[in-house]
Amino acid sequence: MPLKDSSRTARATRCLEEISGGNQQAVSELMPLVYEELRRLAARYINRERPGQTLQATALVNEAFVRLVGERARGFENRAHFVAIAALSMRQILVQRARARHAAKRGGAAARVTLDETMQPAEAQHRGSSDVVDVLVLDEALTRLATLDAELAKVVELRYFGGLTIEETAEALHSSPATVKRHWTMARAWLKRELA
Amino acid sequence: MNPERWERLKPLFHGALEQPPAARAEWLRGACPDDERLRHEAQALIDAHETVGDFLESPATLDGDAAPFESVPLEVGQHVGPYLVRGELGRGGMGIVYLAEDTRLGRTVALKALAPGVADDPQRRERLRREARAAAALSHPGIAVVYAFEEIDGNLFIASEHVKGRTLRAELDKGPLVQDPRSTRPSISCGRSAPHTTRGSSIEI
Repeated sequence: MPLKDSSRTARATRCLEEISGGNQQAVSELMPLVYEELRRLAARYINRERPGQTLQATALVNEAFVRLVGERARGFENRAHFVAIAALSMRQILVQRARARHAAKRGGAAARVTLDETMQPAEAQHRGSSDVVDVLVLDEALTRLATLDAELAKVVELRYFGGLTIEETAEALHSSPATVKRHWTMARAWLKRELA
Repeated sequence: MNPERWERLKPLFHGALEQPPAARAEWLRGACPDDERLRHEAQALIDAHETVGDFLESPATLDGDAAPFESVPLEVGQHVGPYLVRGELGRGGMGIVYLAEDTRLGRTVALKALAPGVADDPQRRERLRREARAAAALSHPGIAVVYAFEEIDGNLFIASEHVKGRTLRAELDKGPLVQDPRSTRPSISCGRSAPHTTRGSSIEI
């Protein structure tokens, strides 16, 4: 059973190189590694954070990249492909978290409402309503968008959950920055309407 | 809306955006004269675009309030603080015991952690703390030595001596533990033998 110390990073790096080389099958091997690493990092940070503080999903994705891929395969290309996978995991993690919270609020948590909790909506308003996106609603809208136009939904996933730039998104999708920009513009307009 | 209509909507949306805002509605009427519904869809999208602001421009965040984050089991090859996970020795409802290497001292240890589902439960954490303290207070050849009680990345671990041996289950499967009263006591991996202590405690590790 014992594997080498570097087994996870070695596997992640090899998968990433295969993906960059065009082998899409390596995606399914890399996916669980990335997902677990992100969950681990998220658990660590969240359990350490104070209530009310926020953590950029992008920061987690970057750290997962550094930890899993190490020094070996840090190219622009490899990073884009890694984040493409991490963005999907990040989306799943955020949705699970939001669901868990909704469930906790529905079931029996009423008796445990604290001052802090009751003050949250007011705090959210202070931050400006345009910043506050309901992850569950966005996730459902994105799923609907994917049935109309999978490419647009993917662009949103990479940009919003992975924090990729237009250029990096183009690299990850084997597309051009101009095309990605057009997709991004239309997807945002459509989602803005869906979430209104 | 279906993918077909969506494909027709795309050039209308992008084409209108190339026009100055005031001319967009007029342009749409010219570009799509015979499908009023599609034209309205395009107009609604353009309206949304014009008020989109910085919507979705900053990437998602995780908030630090909230439901405890369920952790995942450790993986072989993973580092936890100074420990390198080599494998899993066993698991139960309360916890998971890993075989690990203490890389500072170069020795093998048994690393006990709370099961992922209960890792953040304050009562379980307190129980593990008590277990570590109780075990550390005892010294007996029949009890695995506790080396350390650690909190790493918010998770609790008991690092203890790893005693090689067969499991109690394996011993029981072979037949009665003591057939001949003069035979030696069986060796059991979760402790070396039944613990007899002055305080009468029994330790689960």
